[in-house]
Amino acid sequence: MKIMQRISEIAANTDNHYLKEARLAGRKIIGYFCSYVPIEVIHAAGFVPYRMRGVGSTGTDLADGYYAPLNCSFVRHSFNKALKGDFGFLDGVVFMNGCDHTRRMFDNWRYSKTGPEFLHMFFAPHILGVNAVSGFVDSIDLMKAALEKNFGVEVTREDLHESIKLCNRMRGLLSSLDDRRKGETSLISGSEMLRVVMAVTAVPVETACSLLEEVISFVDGRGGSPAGDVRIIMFAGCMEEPEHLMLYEDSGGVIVADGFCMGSRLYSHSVEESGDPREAIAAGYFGSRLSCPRMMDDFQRRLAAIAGMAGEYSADAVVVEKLKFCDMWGWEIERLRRESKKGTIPPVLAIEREYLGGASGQVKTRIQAFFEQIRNKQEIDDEIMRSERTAYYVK
Amino acid sequence: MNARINPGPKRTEQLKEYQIAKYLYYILIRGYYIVLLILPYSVISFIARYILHPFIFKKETRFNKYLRSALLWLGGGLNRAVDYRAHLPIMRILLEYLKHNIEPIKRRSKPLVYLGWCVSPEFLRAFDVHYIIPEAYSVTGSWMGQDVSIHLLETVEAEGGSIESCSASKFGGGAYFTGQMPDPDIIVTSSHPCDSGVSFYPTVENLTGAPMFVLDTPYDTTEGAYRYFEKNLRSMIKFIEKNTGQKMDWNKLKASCEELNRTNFYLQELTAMTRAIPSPVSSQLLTVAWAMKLMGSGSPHLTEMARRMYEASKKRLERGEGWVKDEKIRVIWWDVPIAYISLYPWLEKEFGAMVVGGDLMGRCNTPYVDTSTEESMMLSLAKVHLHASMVRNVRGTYELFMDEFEQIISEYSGDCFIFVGHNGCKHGWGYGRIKKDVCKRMGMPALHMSSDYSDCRNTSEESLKKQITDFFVGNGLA
Repeated sequence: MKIMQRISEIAANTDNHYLKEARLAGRKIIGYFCSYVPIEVIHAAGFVPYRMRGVGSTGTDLADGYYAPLNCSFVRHSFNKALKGDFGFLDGVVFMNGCDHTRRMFDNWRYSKTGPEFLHMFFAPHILGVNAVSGFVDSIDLMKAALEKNFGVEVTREDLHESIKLCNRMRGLLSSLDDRRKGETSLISGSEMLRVVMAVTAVPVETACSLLEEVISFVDGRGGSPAGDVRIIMFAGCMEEPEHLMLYEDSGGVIVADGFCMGSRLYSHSVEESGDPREAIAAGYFGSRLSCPRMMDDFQRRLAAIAGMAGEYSADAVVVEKLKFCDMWGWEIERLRRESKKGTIPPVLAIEREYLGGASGQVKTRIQAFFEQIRNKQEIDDEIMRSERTAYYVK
Repeated sequence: MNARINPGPKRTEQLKEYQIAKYLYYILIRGYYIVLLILPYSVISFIARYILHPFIFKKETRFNKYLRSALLWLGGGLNRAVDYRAHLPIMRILLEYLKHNIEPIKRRSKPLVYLGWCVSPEFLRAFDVHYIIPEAYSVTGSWMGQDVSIHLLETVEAEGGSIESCSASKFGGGAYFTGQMPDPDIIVTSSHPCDSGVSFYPTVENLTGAPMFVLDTPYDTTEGAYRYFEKNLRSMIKFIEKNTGQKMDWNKLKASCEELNRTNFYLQELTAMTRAIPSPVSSQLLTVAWAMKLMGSGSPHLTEMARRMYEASKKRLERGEGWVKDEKIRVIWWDVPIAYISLYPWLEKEFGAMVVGGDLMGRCNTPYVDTSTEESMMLSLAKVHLHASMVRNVRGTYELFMDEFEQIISEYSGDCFIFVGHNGCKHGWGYGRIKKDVCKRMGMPALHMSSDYSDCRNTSEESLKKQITDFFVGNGLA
């Protein structure tokens, strides 16, 4: 099977044969819910970190008994899958206080007595700085201790160092693949990149690295996106629907960079491979990486990163998507729109939708209208340049 | 970097800059002296209440909209003249707080701090600063009528603010965009209790350009969590000192904490008194006390308010008298929508129904501040913050909520439970099943309604009253 087909198949399913092989080899599979959960610790315990997902969900009927329609559809779909037993292959799940919806999943999961037995809440601060890093280190210690106690393993400093190296390698390969979107023609589309990230977060890290090497050599040997497409950078929290991204691509857009949880937020950092590994992990996760709107004191840095990405990737526009009832992204959109009006970042299109909610026709109409505006603006800018004989500046 | 807009014509009249604070301040000053004159003569205040009653009680109309809500907050729904005595210090607290709004408008002599509503203002009392709590507009903003509330909310939504956010945050945003608050010098807020505050304050920071400090909230309730929060509090002091050029006065902080201890003693006693059958205390007093604590924690006026409430209630308790003459239904109600403070007197008058145990906000269950050393004071203040109303119940796992909830059900002899799911409280909606199961297990009829903390567009007062009436009748309680 060709590599991209394999990637698509892994991305589209909850379980896959790499996980089955790992289980047969005696490795435990530990699910985790957020990109702030340090997968290095799970890996260092000898387990497979598995990024939780709602793919393949067909409804929220069971979860609706616990949640209300005002709660996030991603959370309801994921919890519904848990109640149906779709995550029966997991040996544990690590939750995080990412938002009010996901943190209640930890509660509902425990309350409903849905397996597995090992359920752990990882606390990540909402701020950067010294206190936050020390708080994150404490959380790493708690998670490590919980894994050790529950599974009777020992996580040594050396184990953590080895895992950091391996995870850095995976992040490096993902970044290298991501770089192939920078040029005038993008070698890998946004929807493909999303599939890749979804696939590599659902297999053992070692396997992820070899899959990524195959993907990189595959994309290097093929053509890129047509020049002249509207180049967009896209931000969202939960994004697990490659078909949804294809709406943009089919409308003449190319997603040249992203800020998804299942995207660059996962690999935009690396962890120092020397020194105290816990502190190195904390510094890595709270250092240079692109943060999510849950980090309260980091908007200016996020904004600078978006502006930088827009320049680096020659983006024409920014698209921000939020799931309904998400306060975090709701206010982030407000801020980004304001900054766009000031000219700090390119024009912003904000889309609100439900996870696995369909409505592709409506969304596509909005995308097409937005792209038309962008193209018209470009033409007008060209006219101004020609008439004024000034240098053309692309934001 | 001021990004205020002209909100354009709305359904209500255009709000002038700083209109809300100015209006309330001048009305309150006049009202204060009137109350001062009539208070010694309880017969006069009782008659005044009866004259005002038809204008404030039933519903908001074009004739009563400018003061209905304010009068209700200031005791318009109280049954007895003796309880009005507590409302004189309430006016003092409000005046003191509104001065923080008014003085920076007139003359910027001190640094101005925007203070998140879940950060207790004791620390700021130890500095020479003014402070404004943006979310407090969810209380005071509605005092000029529901159309002013709607105007504030619609303005922030028109600006692109998150529509599903808690209306307390949206009121703060609306107040900023309509020019009700002068720009701050610094912002101090916290990452509790919910996503709304977490997501709203970066916008305030972005709009005003003022440096912001965030107190990060731990998820659990362990000694380590208190220590973590204490470290945050110490960093906050350094931040305020650096950005205001002032040194914190530890003696002033100690004095505020001692005052807070005195206040909390009375409020905790009042909360506990609602266990008695009949209950000598209306939870409306506790809700009002919560709002006053929000604005004036550490103030001697707050202690005076609580003491007066306590003394009047204690006398009733000793006489075996209830707040209402004939108490028929005891309601456990968490998350009373504060936009409808009128629901308390309505329940009491129509059904003889008393809310017991205090609502989520008003229920006082705060640790004592040990002021013996700086260290003990800081650690205690960390505990005070993490055990504040709402914060202690919703920032962490569901047990933090349910354990206290079950305790209230078993100790306060409730006949039924009412839960109002506010739009912004996603965490509350997220454990709906657990809450329902607790009620079922404890044999308690429960009404779950959808409303909003202070957005009257979500559910009308009439609709809430109808649902409650149907619930009481349907369960044979009325």
